[in-house]
Amino acid sequence: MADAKIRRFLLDGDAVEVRFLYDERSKRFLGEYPDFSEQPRRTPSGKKWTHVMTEGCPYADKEFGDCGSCIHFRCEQPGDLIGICEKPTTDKITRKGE
Amino acid sequence: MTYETAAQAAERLGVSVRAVQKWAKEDKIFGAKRMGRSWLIPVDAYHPGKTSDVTEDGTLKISSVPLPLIGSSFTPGKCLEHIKSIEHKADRDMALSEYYFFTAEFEKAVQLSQIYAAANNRSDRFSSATIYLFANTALGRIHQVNQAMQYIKDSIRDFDETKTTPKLHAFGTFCEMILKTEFHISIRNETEFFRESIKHLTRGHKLYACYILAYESYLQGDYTQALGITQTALSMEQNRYPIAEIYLLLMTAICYVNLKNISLANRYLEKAWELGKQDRLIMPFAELYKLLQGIIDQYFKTKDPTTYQKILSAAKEYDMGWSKVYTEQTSRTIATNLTQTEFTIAMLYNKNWRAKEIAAHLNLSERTITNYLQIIYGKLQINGKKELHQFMLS
Repeated sequence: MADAKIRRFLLDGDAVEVRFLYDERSKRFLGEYPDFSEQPRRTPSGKKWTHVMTEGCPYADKEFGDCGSCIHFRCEQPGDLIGICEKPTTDKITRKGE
Repeated sequence: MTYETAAQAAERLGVSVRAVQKWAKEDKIFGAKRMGRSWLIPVDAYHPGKTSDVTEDGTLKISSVPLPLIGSSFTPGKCLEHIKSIEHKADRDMALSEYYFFTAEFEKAVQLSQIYAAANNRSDRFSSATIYLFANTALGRIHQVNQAMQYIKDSIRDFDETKTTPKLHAFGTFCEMILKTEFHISIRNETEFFRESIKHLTRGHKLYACYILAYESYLQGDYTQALGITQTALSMEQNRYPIAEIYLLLMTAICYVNLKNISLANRYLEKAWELGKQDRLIMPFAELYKLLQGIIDQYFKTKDPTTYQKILSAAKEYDMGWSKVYTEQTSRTIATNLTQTEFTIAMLYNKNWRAKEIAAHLNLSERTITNYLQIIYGKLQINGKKELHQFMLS
């Protein structure tokens, strides 16, 4: 289908598939990203998948507070909206909270 | 244009008829016309040998009111009547060119204001340059904007070396502050001096000066202080100064949006429009469209779709020109490729509004907002608020 495509985000030995649908109004493909706060997901080594707009982690940048601005956020390609958190401590915190 | 004979002009200017005829022949009197063997001289022609803003002791003075419409008191709905009643032709023309700008008739504003670019009177030249600058910004003519800006900057610097009256100095600082707040350009960092010089301005200009001060506080993120300034200014005058009042009311609305008190923001927007609609003064709304962050859309879209389209179109024109000027003057990159809605959402998100709050404010679904944010991040090629912040103004 020309108006939809799938992209695999590959990080730390794990792959997340996201479907992109063509949006007529913006003339862009928009991703249907999984909601990691609803359904947490980790890489085999325990790293947490997150969306750049996710907020609230105590280790996030103090001024901006989102994962995208955090030094611990790593994505496959520049500009990607999902990636993993490389801060080992968050791993422990979130594991407790889960 | 009203004319008089060379003899009448000679008497008014205190010179010989022959001198007036000679100046007219040498094109030294702007607007003079030959009728057979006689000359017709505009009734407000200046003495070309003297600059009318220099007194005998060499001090500069103001002989006409700068940016007269901003400083004018008139009944809402009677703006044009008020302009027609202004006695001095240069003031009348200047007020009319201001009116053209405020009604988004930019070409007319440029044409009328540029006539006074070479006027003898310094305050006319200042007014002319300011209107010319703003109207050309909306027309996207950056070369002309730069010319006017350079003129204003040079004149302001001249003040430091020239003996000026407090009034003219105050007006120079007034123009400087307009540039500073509107284009974020600092010429002499004169805020403190500006506060001191406000007392030398006319009453209407004082109100507009308060708007400038409030705008500065807003840019520094001090919304409470900005509100204090606008509320005090609005409560101080019994007479109506619609232009200054509209800007003050809109700044109040902007502060309330930022304090997330949308119902009060709407109330002040409504008050501002009550003043503006009767004279079709849409430009303050267009100029501040982005800072009003969605409340214009909410208010006008359904209530007055025709005005909404006009405001939107004027906002778009002005914004495109403004972005070019701003980028050139400050060497900063701002988001120029976003639509008005995208910019509004980006601005709110940048101010730490959550997607859910933005959705409620703009009457859209949360999903739509996250899609918009995805588009914004894609267009700006960023993936974090920190980077988004670089593209936003405050």
